[in-house]
Amino acid sequence: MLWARIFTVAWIVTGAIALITAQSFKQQAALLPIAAASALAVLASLELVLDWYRSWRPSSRSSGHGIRDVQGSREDEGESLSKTRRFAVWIVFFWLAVWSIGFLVSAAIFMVLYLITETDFGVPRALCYCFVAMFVLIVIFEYIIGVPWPTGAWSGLHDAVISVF
Amino acid sequence: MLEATTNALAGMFACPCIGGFLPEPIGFLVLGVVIGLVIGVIPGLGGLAGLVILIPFTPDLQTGSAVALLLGMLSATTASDSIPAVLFAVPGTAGAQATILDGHPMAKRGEAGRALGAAYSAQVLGGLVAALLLAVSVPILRPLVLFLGSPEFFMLGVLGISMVATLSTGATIKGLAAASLGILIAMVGRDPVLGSLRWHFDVLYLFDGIPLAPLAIGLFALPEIAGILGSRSRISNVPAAKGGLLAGVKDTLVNWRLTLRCSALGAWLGAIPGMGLAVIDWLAYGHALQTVRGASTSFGKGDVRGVIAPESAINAKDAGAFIPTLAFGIPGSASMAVILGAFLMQGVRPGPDLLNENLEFVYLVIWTLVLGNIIGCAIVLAASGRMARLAQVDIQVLVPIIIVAVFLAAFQASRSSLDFLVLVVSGLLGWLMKQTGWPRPPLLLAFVLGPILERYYFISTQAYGWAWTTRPIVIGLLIVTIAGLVYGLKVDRNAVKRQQHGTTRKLGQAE
Repeated sequence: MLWARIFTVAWIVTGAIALITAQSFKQQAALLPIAAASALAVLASLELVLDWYRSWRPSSRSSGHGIRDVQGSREDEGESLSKTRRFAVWIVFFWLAVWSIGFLVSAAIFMVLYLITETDFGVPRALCYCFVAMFVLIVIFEYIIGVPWPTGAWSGLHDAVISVF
Repeated sequence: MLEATTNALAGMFACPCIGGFLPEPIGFLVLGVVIGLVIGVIPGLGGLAGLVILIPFTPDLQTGSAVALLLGMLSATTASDSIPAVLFAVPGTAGAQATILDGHPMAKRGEAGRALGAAYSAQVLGGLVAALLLAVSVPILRPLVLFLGSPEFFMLGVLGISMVATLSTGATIKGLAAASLGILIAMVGRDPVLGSLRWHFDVLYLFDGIPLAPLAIGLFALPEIAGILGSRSRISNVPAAKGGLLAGVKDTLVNWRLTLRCSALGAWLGAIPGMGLAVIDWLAYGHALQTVRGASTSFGKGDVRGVIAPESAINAKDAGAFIPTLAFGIPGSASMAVILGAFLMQGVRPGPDLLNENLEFVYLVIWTLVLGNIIGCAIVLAASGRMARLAQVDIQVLVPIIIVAVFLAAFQASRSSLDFLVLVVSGLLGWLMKQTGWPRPPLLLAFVLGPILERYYFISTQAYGWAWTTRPIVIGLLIVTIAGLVYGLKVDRNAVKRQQHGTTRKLGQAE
């Protein structure tokens, strides 16, 4: 509940900052940004007030619980949050890997590590999965669609992977 | 018009062939259908997630191939989402919820094949009927579209955004605020009228604005994957029944009147901005419940007509949703907003110009929908047993390859490493919005429509001054917009009351 309100406040702040900074745009270019920023700040403020009002109404106070309490236990929510947190860590890991050593090498390393740590795959099975997945990816994206790959700072590894297939 | 129809079809087959035998657009149509079928089977991932992942790859393709890839994927998603709905009572997408009511009881008594056969054939008929309605509506809409000017198109855009914010979310104020944020994000970079820069922070990447692909992928695909991981890892093992598919097809043909009615209903509702799959399937189910003989006693216990009605309607919805998108350039849903973005990337600008100068493209869309439905149905009829196994695969095994595809897709937007930053930041925003009940479709829709609205607004003001606000159609559309918002707020208020009442009652029972 607190997080939801903080998030709503972030919307209000975004709207307010956008409104202030949009004043410096040229007249025609500023019209829609000012209108949208004003709407954002007002609507988010209204939502915050309504949310606060709903939580303090007598009918809500008497129950003493939020709606979310009925839907799932705290253990379920905790496990779900823990899985989401792990997922976020993997996303950031993959992002940094792509940025530094290029896409193809990162993809291969990411797949193998993810499968070994998050599933019951052993190393040989993870390597086989990775090889097949890389084959499919490269055939579809390199040879059929013909898209460029992010090479990263160390592009030599990228070229080596392409040459294997 | 007939010439445009035949030219569009001929164009699909006259393109260079892949591997010497398959014309390129047909090849990409099959690829799109296969991707759509896989995405549809995985519970939690829907057509929108598939679209946002595929869209960045389309600018490099020919127009016909790009349309084939996207629409093939979109039309096939609904075909395969009935598999987990019928077999495991888990909807592949929001549009398969009503199918569970009768499809799963049929599966429990060993008639899964019949339920799936009925679902596939109803979808094909629904898709074909809706494509026909779309084709028929084109000659009717052409003179109407010519009658409208920039002020009317501006108001149509405002109406579209407000209806999506109101109808599709159940949280009107949050929906409107999300739409406002979407417009603000769309304003980053060079403005489309004067060319002056806004909110660029001296970063070259932002001069052309934030690209659609990483934003859309971050908002929709990443939070959905996180949600699937958080909720469950594997669907329980239920033996997939084989056989009986033809009996289901026969059921659809016997109930052809119901199929046609629900298809027309789905196409008509699909044309209304904001009408999502989750609403349409229940409306079609409700229609069948009221009109089919003996439904009050048999529905919910495994009546095949309870499968046919929602399945024909949800597949008809997409073709219906193309009517406002193609004719007015106003998408009525997040999926259509993404499709509109893909069309703009291809240099195709939906609206009056499209209907008058590029009619062949409209028929290319219609033919793609028709062929996509037929190919999708043929594949699921042939391989539904194998595809059902995909829904039972541990989602953790599929996650790495989905993530890799997501990152690759995001990079194609502007081929800059900053695309990844946009992806991750919008992914975080999407996840927070999902967790705190802020609707995401209005944000995406407003992001796509923002520059278009700004251009129409500028032209209206330049041409008519403020007098454009007094034009009769503009006033009419404004009244409809306000009425829609008032209705949405009233519905929200009632929903909150019901929820609080239900919560108090549940807690009382538990105590």
